[in-house]
Amino acid sequence: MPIEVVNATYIYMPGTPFETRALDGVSLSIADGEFVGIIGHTGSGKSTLVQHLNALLKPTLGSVYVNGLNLNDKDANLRDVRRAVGLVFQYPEYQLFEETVRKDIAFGPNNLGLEAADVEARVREAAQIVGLSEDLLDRSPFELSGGQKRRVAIAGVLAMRPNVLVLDEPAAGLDPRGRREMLALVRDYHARGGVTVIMVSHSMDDVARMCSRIIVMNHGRVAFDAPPAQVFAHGDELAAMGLGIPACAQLANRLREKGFAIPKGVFALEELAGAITACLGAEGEDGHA
Amino acid sequence: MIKATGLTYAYEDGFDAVRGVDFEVYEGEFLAILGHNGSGKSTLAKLMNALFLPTGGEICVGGIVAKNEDDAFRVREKCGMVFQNPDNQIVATIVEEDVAFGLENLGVPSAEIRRRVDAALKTVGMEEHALSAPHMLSGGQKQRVAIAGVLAMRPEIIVFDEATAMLDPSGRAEVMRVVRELNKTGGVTVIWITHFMEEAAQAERILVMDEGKIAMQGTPVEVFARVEEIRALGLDAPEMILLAEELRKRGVPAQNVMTVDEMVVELCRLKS
Repeated sequence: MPIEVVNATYIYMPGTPFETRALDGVSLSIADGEFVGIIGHTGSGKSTLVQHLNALLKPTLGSVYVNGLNLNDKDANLRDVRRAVGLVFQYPEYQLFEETVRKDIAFGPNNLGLEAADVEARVREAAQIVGLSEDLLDRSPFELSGGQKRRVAIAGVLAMRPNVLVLDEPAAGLDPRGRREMLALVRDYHARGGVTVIMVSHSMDDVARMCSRIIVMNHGRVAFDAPPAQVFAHGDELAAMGLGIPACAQLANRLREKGFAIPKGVFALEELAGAITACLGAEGEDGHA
Repeated sequence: MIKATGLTYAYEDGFDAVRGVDFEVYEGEFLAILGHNGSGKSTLAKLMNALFLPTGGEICVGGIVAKNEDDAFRVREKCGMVFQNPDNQIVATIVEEDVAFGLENLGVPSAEIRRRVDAALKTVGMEEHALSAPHMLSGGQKQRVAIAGVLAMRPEIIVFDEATAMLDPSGRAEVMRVVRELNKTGGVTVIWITHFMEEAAQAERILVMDEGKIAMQGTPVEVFARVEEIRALGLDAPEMILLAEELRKRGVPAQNVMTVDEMVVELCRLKS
């Protein structure tokens, strides 16, 4: 289910004083099985971009292809596209509405017209992936903690068995442990194989740790599209876009300016500690220098 | 400024969110409160401005021990509060009317309202948006409007309950800058509840809550140095603290660093 965005432009409220060009000639392609991070400050166009990936929005100019299908095509079956590309919005727990967790997760599969047994199997599978125990399935989703509610909402999308999973800020507003667990869940889901994961985030740290490719959006355009190490080399430009880079990557850049010989692409904590130790010529007590 | 002794709060279902806590908040201080969800920190915040009255023990805020609703109003005049979601705190359709809302309810004369609203908007850097519609503002701007609304009431203390949780990095930096300025030059005592360790690192002192009790307290350097305990409490240490620890393991004696700037200075010192 490859995705191809070709020169896409999207204009909100055209012809009004509030007219905004949210996407401005965006081109990118995402191959099967990739784990891509999309980053950018508020208003950079990242949420608008992901809403194009399952035709919730259609480009004002340009085209979006999902599995070769042009979403602007009048005959395109958008139901199939939306089934294949699952979108988890920001704060998805606000969208829960059913009496029980089971019914909420089952809502999508039920609409597919599946047999009751198939729906139940999908509910259990999705609940298991997001780490919701069986005894929670008959509880009201509104009795659960914030982190659990969010898991229910994500399970509802996973129960549709999408080929592409798009998550908009899945860890926003959670506490540090909740963040770690949520990000581990997304990483494990991708590691199961067979799915493309696209994660929108404000946190360069999270994206750097998880994704092999980062797309940086700025003013509706793709500013960078590269592996993390290459993106972090542009620390000053990112800062000008209102984006921070991980503290260790910042430090590596600053130390290089001060004449430390830190190899390019080193920003993971342990690697950086090793590189700094080597520069200072210190002998480690446990043998590594 | 605030003194709590044996402070306890149990919800109606019997859950003790705060369990016999003793602490003080000093005048003019910037105190951060950390703790994972359910650790009791938001309940503690609501006790500080008498949204909740203690079910046990005592809390004295600016010289007032609230025992009933009348006292509670007096406490809230001393101690304002800013919440997490900016959209839930804004009531008016024009920025300056929103800021004036609290004062109008108190029956403050209109010339005085005008003065205070203008001053509050200026302090948070939103004077140019006085006539804007709040829903057209960014999250950081809305949160600054909410802060202006509290400031217009001239509280001595402001409690921020995860006021940056729903903001993007630039919105967070904006709000943090305004609050630090209020604390430094405005003399407002700030209680800053957060999940962001980098924010807590900027405070003068940190309290860490766990299971309704104070698990740790001290300066950021003291608290974050106890990396294992911090982790066990469901929190994280700032990255430079972890790097410093990793460096010490390898024989590089990096000490007392919490920020990138401090680490650069420290490593340059060690190199020369």
